[in-house]
Amino acid sequence: MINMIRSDIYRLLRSKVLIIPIALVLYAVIASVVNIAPAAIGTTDLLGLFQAETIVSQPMMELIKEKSYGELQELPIKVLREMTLSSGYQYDRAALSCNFNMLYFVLVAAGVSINQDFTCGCIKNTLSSAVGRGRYFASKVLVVNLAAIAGTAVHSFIIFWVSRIINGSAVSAGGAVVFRSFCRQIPAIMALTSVYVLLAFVVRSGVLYNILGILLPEGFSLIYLLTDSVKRLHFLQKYDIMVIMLRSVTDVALSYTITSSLVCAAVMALSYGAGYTLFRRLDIK
Amino acid sequence: MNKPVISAKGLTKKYGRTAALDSVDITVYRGDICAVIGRNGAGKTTLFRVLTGLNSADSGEYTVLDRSAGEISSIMHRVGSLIERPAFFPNLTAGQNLKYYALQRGITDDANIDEALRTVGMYDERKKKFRKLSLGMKQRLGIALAFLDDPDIVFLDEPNNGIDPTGISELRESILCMNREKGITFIISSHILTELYTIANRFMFIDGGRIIRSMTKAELNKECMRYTAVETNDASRAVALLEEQLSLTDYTVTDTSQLRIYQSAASSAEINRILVQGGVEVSALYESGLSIEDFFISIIGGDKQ
Repeated sequence: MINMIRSDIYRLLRSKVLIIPIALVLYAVIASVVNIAPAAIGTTDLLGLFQAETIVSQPMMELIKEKSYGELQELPIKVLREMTLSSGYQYDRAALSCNFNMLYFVLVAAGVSINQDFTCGCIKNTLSSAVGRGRYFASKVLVVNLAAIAGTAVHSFIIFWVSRIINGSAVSAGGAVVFRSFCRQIPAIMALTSVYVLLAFVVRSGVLYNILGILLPEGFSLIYLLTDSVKRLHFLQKYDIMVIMLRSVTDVALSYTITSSLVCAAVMALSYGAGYTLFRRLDIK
Repeated sequence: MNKPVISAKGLTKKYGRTAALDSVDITVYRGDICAVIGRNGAGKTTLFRVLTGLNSADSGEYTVLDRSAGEISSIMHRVGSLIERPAFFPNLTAGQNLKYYALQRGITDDANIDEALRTVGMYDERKKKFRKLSLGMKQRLGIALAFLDDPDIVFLDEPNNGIDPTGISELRESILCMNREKGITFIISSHILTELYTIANRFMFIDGGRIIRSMTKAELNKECMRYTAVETNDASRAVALLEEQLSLTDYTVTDTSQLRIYQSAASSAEINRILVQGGVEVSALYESGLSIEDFFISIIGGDKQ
């Protein structure tokens, strides 16, 4: 098992495929920190570096709700920053609530570690001469989970430090809060990872995997569509993985932490159970 | 006799309604170089896939290195294989690709990788990315992976594909050397039958998913060798006469009326004379013999002999 993990890390570090999502995440972090807009991928030209449209954070919207969206957009970013910074807004904590966006990193990690084995046919070299299917599956689960958790951790703490450097400690919730929030997110990260691992084992075509992987978050929205008209099922909306990520930061009640962790465990059990059952019987081409 | 390293009984694998393997029984002994010969689609690759655990059999049982199908994963590190086309990560170099698989098997000494690359004449190309290698070089890299860390058994499915004549000759020498010096068992399929004939000591002919003949090299030689066929009304009397007068030792009686004489010293005319003078009726007497290709065609077609 350790040998499998070592070989996968060796390959991940040399394949250079992860450089693209890492570069995108770093770009988004800096842009988001500068805008104090946790979910921002687009940004502004505050530093004369970026030109795209600003996506304004929800707390900021509430802060200046008397203004229309159009008026807001026309406000200089400097003014928006000052308004937000003076509001007691905890930027780093808010940014953590948007860690669901790390799904793109998980998508690539599972794609490189598992899907590429199938698309290039290299899996046959491993299964015919190195390890059995059980160990192969377990090691891939471990590697992708490690990559997802490490990637999200690095992302979260880069946000924390970059924000402290650029925005100062006034908009920071503090290292301890950030760390606890991140820890509460781990079950959701692992549940999300399990879904991508399942997808990578089910869809063994690279192109289809990427398309479905990008569309997967839309699938989570189905929970809303399906439960919206039935009031008794509204409680399910609390357990969408995206919502669990968010509420792991904002809702620190123990009962929610426990129930959401159980939901995540169920998602993992289903995903890995289905994935391994399929993989065990699969004829490798 | 050597110990069997691979044995299968009643191995069946179906793709839809087509039986790729149909009740296959095989035994391969330690130190064998076993040639698996068959037409395209005969079931060679499926046999390799099942024995290496890539595909599961629908029925039947098999053991590899004394482990049954369910336990086979525990000995897979002692098996090397090249099945169908060589598959590697296109953006890694030849050396990095082997390093990846070496790490999987717990091989930390890069000398093993260098040795495998040198064996197949790829050492100078080790820093080239896999996607930039020629077809023959890719094939050599696949063979290098199969040879990595001296496995106990090596499966090679069409190893000569895309390899130039020099490479084929080098590969032949490598296989013979590894078999002789390290006792590695090889199971090889190829359509270059003369090449297989040169290196193998056991032959399995497969057609329609069934092993139609399985024989040692000596038995194949006997089947293919030129011989004098004698059809008589009394084969046992004919044998007695020929043993007495020609000191005949190398012959077979295929049924009660046909005798095959492999001794080239005995001419047809002399055999005929001895038998007729001894009162044995000779209904037919002719020279026959097959090349390995002829033999293969004869057993799969059944009508070209």
